[in-house]
Amino acid sequence: MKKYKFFAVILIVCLQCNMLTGCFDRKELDDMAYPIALGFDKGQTNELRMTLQLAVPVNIAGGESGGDVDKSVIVVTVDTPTIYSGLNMLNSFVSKQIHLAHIKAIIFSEELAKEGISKYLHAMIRNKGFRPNAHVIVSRGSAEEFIGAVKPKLETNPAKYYEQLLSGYKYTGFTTDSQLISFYHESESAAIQPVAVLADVSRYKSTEEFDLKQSTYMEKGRKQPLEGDFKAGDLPKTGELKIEVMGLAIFNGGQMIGELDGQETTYHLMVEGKFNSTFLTMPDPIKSDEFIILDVRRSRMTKKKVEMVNGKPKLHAKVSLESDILSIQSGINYESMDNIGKLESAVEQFIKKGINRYLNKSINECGTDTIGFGKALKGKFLTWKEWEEFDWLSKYKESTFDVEVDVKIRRPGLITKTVPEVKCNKK
Amino acid sequence: MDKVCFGKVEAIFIIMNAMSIQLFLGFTRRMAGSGGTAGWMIPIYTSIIALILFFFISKLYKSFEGKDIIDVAEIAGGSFGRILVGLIFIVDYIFILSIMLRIFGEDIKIFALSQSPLSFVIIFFIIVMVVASYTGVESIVRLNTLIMPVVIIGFLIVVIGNIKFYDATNLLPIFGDGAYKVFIKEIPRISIYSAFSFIFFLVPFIGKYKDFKSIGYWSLIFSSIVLTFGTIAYFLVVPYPTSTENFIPYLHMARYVNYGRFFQRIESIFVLMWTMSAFVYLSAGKFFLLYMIKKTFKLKYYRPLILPIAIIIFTLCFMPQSLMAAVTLEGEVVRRFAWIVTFIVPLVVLIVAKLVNRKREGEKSNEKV
Repeated sequence: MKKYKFFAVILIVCLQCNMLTGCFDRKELDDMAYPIALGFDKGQTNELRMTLQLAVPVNIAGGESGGDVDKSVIVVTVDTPTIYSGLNMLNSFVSKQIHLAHIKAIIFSEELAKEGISKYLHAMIRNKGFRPNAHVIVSRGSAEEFIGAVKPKLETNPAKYYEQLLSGYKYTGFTTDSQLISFYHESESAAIQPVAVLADVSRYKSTEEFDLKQSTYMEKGRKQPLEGDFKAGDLPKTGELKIEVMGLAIFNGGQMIGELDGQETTYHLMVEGKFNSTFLTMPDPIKSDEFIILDVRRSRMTKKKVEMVNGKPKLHAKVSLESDILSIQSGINYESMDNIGKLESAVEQFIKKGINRYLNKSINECGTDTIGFGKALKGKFLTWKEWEEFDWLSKYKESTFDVEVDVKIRRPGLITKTVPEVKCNKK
Repeated sequence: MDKVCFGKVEAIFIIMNAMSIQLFLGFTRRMAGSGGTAGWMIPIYTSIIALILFFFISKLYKSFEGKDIIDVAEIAGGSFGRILVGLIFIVDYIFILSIMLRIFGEDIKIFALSQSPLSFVIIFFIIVMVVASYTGVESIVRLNTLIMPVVIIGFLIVVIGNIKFYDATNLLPIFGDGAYKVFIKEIPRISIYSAFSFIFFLVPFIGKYKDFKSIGYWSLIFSSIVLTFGTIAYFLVVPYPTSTENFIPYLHMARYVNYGRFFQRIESIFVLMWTMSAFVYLSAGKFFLLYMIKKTFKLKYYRPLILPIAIIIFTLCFMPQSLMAAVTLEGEVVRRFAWIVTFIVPLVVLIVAKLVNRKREGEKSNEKV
């Protein structure tokens, strides 16, 4: 018996040695190269141009001297027939094996997105390397140029940079949370269509070049642009941070069919129910050449309903918001109980007008339900077959709508009223 | 080994684990494929059918306290009955165990050990099964009782971690692929409770009839709750028809969990709990298979069979040409027809045994008269 026990112990020790070393799947962390962003353009010599932004861990950590921001990433590009053949090509000259698990952003050029990206999405979802929470971005220019222009200045860790950049929608309302997995689910859904973050490299090299030709303010009937009347790349801005992230790319399945500017994106988020907060600038209801700025937040989940009237869908949405006053340029005392109601209804009207304009664009121009009204209608069908035959995504184009906006101004900030300035009138 | 005895909780847990482990395989995908958005109803109504069947089985079992199904088969049909029923269960268990072993091995290869040869991955399951068979049913059952809370916590982390993706409209239209398809055509899906057959071999270890009854009911009820709850959670996260795509649905769900920079990539926890659960399930299955062989052929010892049976299962698990073939066998054969062995065979055996008993009692009383 003792002899057996001895052999059993030897066997267990041998097995442990085998198991604990990891055997065939052993991978050393520093033997791997970690891309942070992956870009796709139409290739020149092949189907696809694939650009990888690889993290350089030694420059991120940097030891005692701290990380080197400018050298924290390197960019490589190849023309390739498919994603995985591209990885194979890259692996042939990048000294370390490429490991996809740290990719934070997947960037498609607008040109490629307009042709359709479903085949690339399927390839990504099938592979365990791609994280479902990577963000899908559409670059208005080339993805290669965009990735090349990404120079994180305030953050040495490029992965953290992307995370923070793309979560900015929570306090700007100018983009959305377009995680790969949500995008994928929506691209296969018969009730909602996907959107992706719109990005680009800044058009301007110096402030002298600034112009407003690309701003969307004119089509909205404004005299001057508000902060959201731009799409990525068109913002009048210069500086060391070359890239811009503003607006949404609208998709029909996996094919891009339109764009939203920053403000339309805010209204999209409000109706969809994903809106968190933003600084809203609007003309003063009494002195229209002055601005009122509010810190607007969602107070309740947006209520959405769809009715079929004469065979056509009628969309109802009730958006509930609350806000704090940040600035009243005119100095009119809107904080008083007599005036607060006037301001609230002016804000409601302003937002309602914007949402109506956005919904008009969504229904008549784009014709895809990116808000998810279809989800509210699905419950009226008993079986999936009936729902499929109804063909909501085609019916959406015939929709009419009715929007209700409820805004409550809660706080005036740190001052309770605006006392007019006093100045000497003598010349 | 018949002298071993364990409590109700242990018995409920081992049956529950065997039935619920499907949740970590393709169960929820299959439910989506079977009923569309209404697929979550299938584990509910099939559990009701299973409970009704068990009601009759338990009533009939009253007169066979402490006897396993092979003992009852002997009463019903003598040696022929014993061997016939024993062989049915032996073939059933060998088939299911080899397919499940292949699927567990392949799944681990897909998401963790992609470079390792399949035989290398599977050999670890085989080693555990062999060691567990040597240590006996008591150690398997008690180990399972320790593992279950860990598995349940891991499962809840995945389910709760996905709350931000929950969308109740994913369950609509309410009748999915249609009431007829869901409630009539999918009745054979009662086979999802096929591992319930463990109970017929647990009888000698749990003793009293009263315990047998409550173990049967509670294990079915708890398993159906876990399976239904798990299916609903998956459906809430992944909309139909995408829900029919994911090969290991709960692995996908584990990958979606992402709270801040720290709480993410929890699929590593999933792999751990899933493997632990699979080890216990396969070990218990293997033990009961050996137990059946011993009882069927009236062998004195079962230990000499441990290695040969392990080699047979190991060899058979490589029979399907691919993972897709193994999954098709599991979904279209095991999870459609296994109910016949789990519920119908015991029912028939019990009815015949009851009739034989009654006949014998009648003969005895006639003799006395």
